[in-house]
Amino acid sequence: MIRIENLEKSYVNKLVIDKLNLELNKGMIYSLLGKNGVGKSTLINIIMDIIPTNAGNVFINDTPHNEITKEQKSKIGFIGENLAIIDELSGKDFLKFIGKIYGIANNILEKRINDLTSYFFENSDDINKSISGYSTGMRKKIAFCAAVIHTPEILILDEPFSGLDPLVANQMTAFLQQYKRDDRLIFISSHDLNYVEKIATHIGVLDNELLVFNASMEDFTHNGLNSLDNALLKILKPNDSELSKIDWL
Amino acid sequence: MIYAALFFITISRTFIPSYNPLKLEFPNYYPISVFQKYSLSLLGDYIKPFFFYMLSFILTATFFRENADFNFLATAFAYLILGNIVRQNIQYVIDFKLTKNAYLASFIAIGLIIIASINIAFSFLDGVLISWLLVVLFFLLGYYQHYSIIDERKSSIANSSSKRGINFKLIVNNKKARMLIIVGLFFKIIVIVVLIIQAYKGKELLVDNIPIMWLFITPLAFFTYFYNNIWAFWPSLMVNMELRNGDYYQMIKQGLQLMKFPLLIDFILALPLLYIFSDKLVFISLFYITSVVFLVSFSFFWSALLPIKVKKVFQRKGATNMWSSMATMLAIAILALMQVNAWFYIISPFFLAMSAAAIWFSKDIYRDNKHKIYEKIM
Repeated sequence: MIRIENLEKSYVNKLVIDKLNLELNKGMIYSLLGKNGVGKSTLINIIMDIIPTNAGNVFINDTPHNEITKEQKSKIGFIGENLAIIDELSGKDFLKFIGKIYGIANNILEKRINDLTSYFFENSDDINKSISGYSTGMRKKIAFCAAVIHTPEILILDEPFSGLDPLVANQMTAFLQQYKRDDRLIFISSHDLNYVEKIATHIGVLDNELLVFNASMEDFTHNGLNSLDNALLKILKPNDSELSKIDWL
Repeated sequence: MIYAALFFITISRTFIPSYNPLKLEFPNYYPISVFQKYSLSLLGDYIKPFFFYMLSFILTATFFRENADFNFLATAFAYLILGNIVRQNIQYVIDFKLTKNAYLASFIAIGLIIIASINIAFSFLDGVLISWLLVVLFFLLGYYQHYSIIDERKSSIANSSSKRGINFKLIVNNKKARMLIIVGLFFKIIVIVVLIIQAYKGKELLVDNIPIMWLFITPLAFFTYFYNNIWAFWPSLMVNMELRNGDYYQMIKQGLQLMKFPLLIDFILALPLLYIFSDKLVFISLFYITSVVFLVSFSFFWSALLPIKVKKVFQRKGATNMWSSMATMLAIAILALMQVNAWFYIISPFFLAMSAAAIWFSKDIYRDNKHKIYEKIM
């Protein structure tokens, strides 16, 4: 579904991604892990054609990502680093607006909005309030609802769990587990290993401009012998030696 | 002129260089009556250096006048006070959600503001009495507006049960766009009423054909102030449309929806002038239609070609690109040549063709510039 070939990206002479090759197929919940600032969001923004590449190609369903048609684009759901929710509208109006962009019929749209909001919003009045007054968690929830309202084949989520309370984060993982199907791809970038562990089928680790690990969850954790964070720490090798130098602790 | 200056300078403090929302000095839970909250807040507003300077100016002007009199002092002082009250009246409408009756009263007050403007500019009515009467009226209006506030700031309310459409909400809940539209239409109303009164009194209409050009000031201001950089005023809207289906013509359609309401109101307001200038109906109609089509089409062209980041409504480098504003004003000036000689009517189809080309090219420019636009506006 998504194929990335020899991708390179740099910002003002600083290389962020170097010759990255990756193939993401149907049925996967692929989780991209890595340190802060390693280029996870950059990679997602490149896939969505928000920022340009320096070299390499990205294909979505075998079409270059910058040439995909309106129909192909409407099969993608997306939450970016910048949530791109429209502050001038209420939560409900925003979802209606998004539904109209996708051309969802009114009766179906109404049902989906009701279903999603009653699942994610405890207080039903919140959906009628202006988004400009929403908390970080509420903004994330409404962005998530907008990403899935058209049941996309490809769902791309950049840090979907950050800013959510544990209850909602668990609700979201349960939702994603149910959303997973053999004909769908879910691509997540996240730091929240607890939630990733519950849903991911494949793991990728981005470090020092390179994709240093790319395999199934079983391979990553050696069939469950390692926990996800231990497995990740083995790859990323945190700098423990510096800690011993802080003698004032 | 001094009265007009005092009145408008006092009002403009709120809008220039950037909009300052109205602060309520006494929150709802404060244990004093609504009238006390309102009047004390207003009174506190006058204990500011601005009013000290203005009062000094009035006193100096009174003493230096050849016929220094109490009437001048009292009227000037009244307009200074009135300017501040009207400033707050406008802000109650902009900043707060009010009851329907309060909105109605506010719109009636707009009519009174216009009468006040005419009074100040042309001294149709006697100074002292009418000015103090207006002070009392607008003070009472302010009190009623304060009394009619429905809890929260307007920006935090966007009830979806409201019958207002999404496009309407996109405009009225966008603080930057809303403010520019209100200011633009406010000045248009003043200009139109002045021209109507002049026509009614049979006076020479300002300077020959210049008043006709006032018809186009508001649309021109809308475009040079924000529609020429439309995506920067609604960045999330643009990003959503691009990411979710990427249909450029649907984006244009959405952009047109954002222009529809202000342009429609402007058009309705301009209708009385068609009556006044009925001898120039052909010119006005052709000029209006051509210029609006031109401005609308080129707004997409400039928005794609020269986007700039908008942090504030009135920012130092402007909310639209300087070159786009200059080109727009130049184009409208060229179009105005139609007034000089009938041969220049040939400009109109040329401008319409250019407008179609601008829309066509804006698609390619948008595709080529898409990443730059994101970078600039987000």
